[in-house]
Order: sequence, then C-alpha cells, then structure tokens
Amino acid sequence: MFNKKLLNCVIALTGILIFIFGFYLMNNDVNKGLTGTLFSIGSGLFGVGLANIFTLFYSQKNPEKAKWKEIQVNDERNKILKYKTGSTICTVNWYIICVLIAIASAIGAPIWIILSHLGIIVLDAILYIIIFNIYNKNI
Amino acid sequence: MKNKLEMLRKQLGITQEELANKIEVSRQTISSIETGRYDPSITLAFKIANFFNKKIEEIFIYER
Repeated sequence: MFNKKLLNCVIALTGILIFIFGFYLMNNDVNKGLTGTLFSIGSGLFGVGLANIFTLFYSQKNPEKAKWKEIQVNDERNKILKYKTGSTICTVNWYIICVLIAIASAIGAPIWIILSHLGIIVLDAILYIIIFNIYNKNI
Repeated sequence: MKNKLEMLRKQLGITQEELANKIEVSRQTISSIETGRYDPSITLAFKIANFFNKKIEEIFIYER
C-alpha cells in the first residue's frame, strides 16, 4: 500500500515537473506543439497520480467498500461481460468504418481519408492475427 | 446446465448477498447462476461446491 502511494506521488510530481517545464518552454518561444504536448502529459500524469492517491486513502478508510469494489473488479461474470462488450463495440466500429469508407468514396472525399480508413481495417486484421496467435500459444 | 444452488442456499438460510460475499463474487453472479442464465467457470463451481461441502455434480447437472 505504501509503495503504491509512493509510486503515485512520484507520478503526480513528475506530472507537475513536466507541466512547469512546458511553461518554461512556452516563455522561451519554443515550438507551441511541444509545449501543448508537455501540458497534456503533465496534467494527465498529475491527474492520474492524484486520483490514485485519493482512491488508496479512500480504500484504507472504507475497507468494506474497497472489498466490494475488489470483488466487482475480479468477478468472473463481470470480466466476461467486459470482454463481450469490448468485442461487440469493436465489431460495430468495424462496420461503421466500412460504411464511412463507402460514404467517403461516394462523395469523392480526398484519397488520404479513404486510405487512412482502409489502413485502420488492414491494421485491425493484422492485429487480430497477431493477438490471436499470442493467445493461442498461451491459453 | 441446471443447478441446485438456490435450493441449497435457502436450506442454509442465507441470502444471495451473503453467499456472494462468502465465495467472493458479485450478487448478480449468484443470481444469474441460480436462474440458469450463467454457467460458472470450473474454479467458481469448485468454490461453490466447497462452500456447500458437496461434489460439483451434486450441485450442477449437465444436460445434453
């Protein structure tokens, strides 16, 4: 528990440091894209670290609720529901992208839009084969 | 797959919530198993059988 708190403190502090570094670069007229990225990463890390620290404190003060949450997270039916939901969403998204490609082609959209959508479908198929094989070897 | 979970639980006089807490699953999982909407994994089936001090096949009935 202490290690987790320490780790999240480090994450939050790193976030603050990256954010301050972003300010420093902004005041020195460095690339705006870079400063924006640093602001996003810094605030993201700070937010995640802080949220995790609060969650750990909350769990310590409310052990019953923490136990309930742990059961909910590890519950095998909930896990199956999560997998099924994710899988269904991916399948639906795949069809949506196919429809978007058809619409983009029909309205004469720029070729890079059509190709980038096609790229997503190809990447999806490649990832499917790779991940399926990894699971096939390990499960 | 049919099961006798509800009957066994009622014989012990415990609620779904209490049984769920004992075997560390959600109440919804117990409810789904009792109504036959969800077939538990072999691990959970063993946990349930151990809790009632019975064999798996005495609780879960396989139907072809």
